[in-house]
Amino acid sequence: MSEDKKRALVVFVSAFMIFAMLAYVAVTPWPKERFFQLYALGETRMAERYYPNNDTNIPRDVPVKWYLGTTNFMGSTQLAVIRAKLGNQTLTPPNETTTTPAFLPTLIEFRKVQVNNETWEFPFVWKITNTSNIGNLTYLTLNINGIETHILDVGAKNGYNYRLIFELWTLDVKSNEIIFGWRASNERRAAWLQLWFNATSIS
Amino acid sequence: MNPRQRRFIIIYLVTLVFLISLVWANFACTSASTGQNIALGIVNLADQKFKDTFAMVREAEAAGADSAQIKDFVSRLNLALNLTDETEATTILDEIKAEASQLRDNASLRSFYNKIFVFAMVPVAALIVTVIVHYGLKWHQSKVEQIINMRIREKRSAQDV
Repeated sequence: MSEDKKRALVVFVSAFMIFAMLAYVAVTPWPKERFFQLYALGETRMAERYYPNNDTNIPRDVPVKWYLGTTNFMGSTQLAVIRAKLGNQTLTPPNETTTTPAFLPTLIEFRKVQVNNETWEFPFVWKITNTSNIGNLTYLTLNINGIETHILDVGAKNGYNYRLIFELWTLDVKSNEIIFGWRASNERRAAWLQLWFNATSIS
Repeated sequence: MNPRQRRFIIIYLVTLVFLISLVWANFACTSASTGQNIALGIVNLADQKFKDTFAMVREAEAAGADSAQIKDFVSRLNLALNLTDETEATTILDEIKAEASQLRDNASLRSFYNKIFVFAMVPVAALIVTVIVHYGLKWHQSKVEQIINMRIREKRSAQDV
């Protein structure tokens, strides 16, 4: 084989390997970090003014307006479900590490299918419409986005330290179940929020 | 068949097998989601129908369907989620499922052909580079030889440059 042909063969093989590698990279989806974002904003749609007059003590029939939102960074279409729950100081909140939700009744549920990179934001308006006392425990009736809910399972001592918990659930295509958090590759992740308030001025 | 031809055919076949294996590996990776929904939990029919439709939309998306079409499916899925009339919601879900299934098959086939095309272009691009390098070097070599073969001559007049 002449010197020219040898050189041409070396060039061809090298170029072939480089182009094959480039072609493989071009057609293979690049692994990205996949996650959801969950957030709550105050009435001004900013991270401030969460309570009327910045007072965590909520009087009866005074509406409190928040904005809840999720952003889908999962790289695919997802079903996002936000579950609102009422807790007190002693009940166990959700656990991110074990991806365990709070074992509390769901007050209201919001569901939306989101495409990749889509942000879904909606108002969450609530007010305390009634309270009842059993011993030193105060039980609330809440009106959330126009829906009245009497919560018998969760009371707070003298109306102190309630918390509204928001959990993000998704539809897991692998197990075909709605799960708390989401599955990224083979890992489970979770996101939840809580906002504290007192209901002392009406008890 | 002389040894040179035999060698060329062997190299060609090895290259072809390598490219086909690359395309196949990539296609298998993309279409893996098609067979993921085997074990289904027992849920009520409306929810199950929604989950099946959602899974079909996800498969169409994974197969490389156009994002505008996926957005259209998603807006209709949200419409079905918010409907209180179960019959209407079921009709919408059935429509989406059928369309998404067709879209998935088309997108899957298109992705496969795209990959075949990309990998088929590899030897062509390598050959073009080889030809350019070969003739480029030849041209460079001829220029060098031209300089090397130059002779020094005495300048005799103003016209003799």
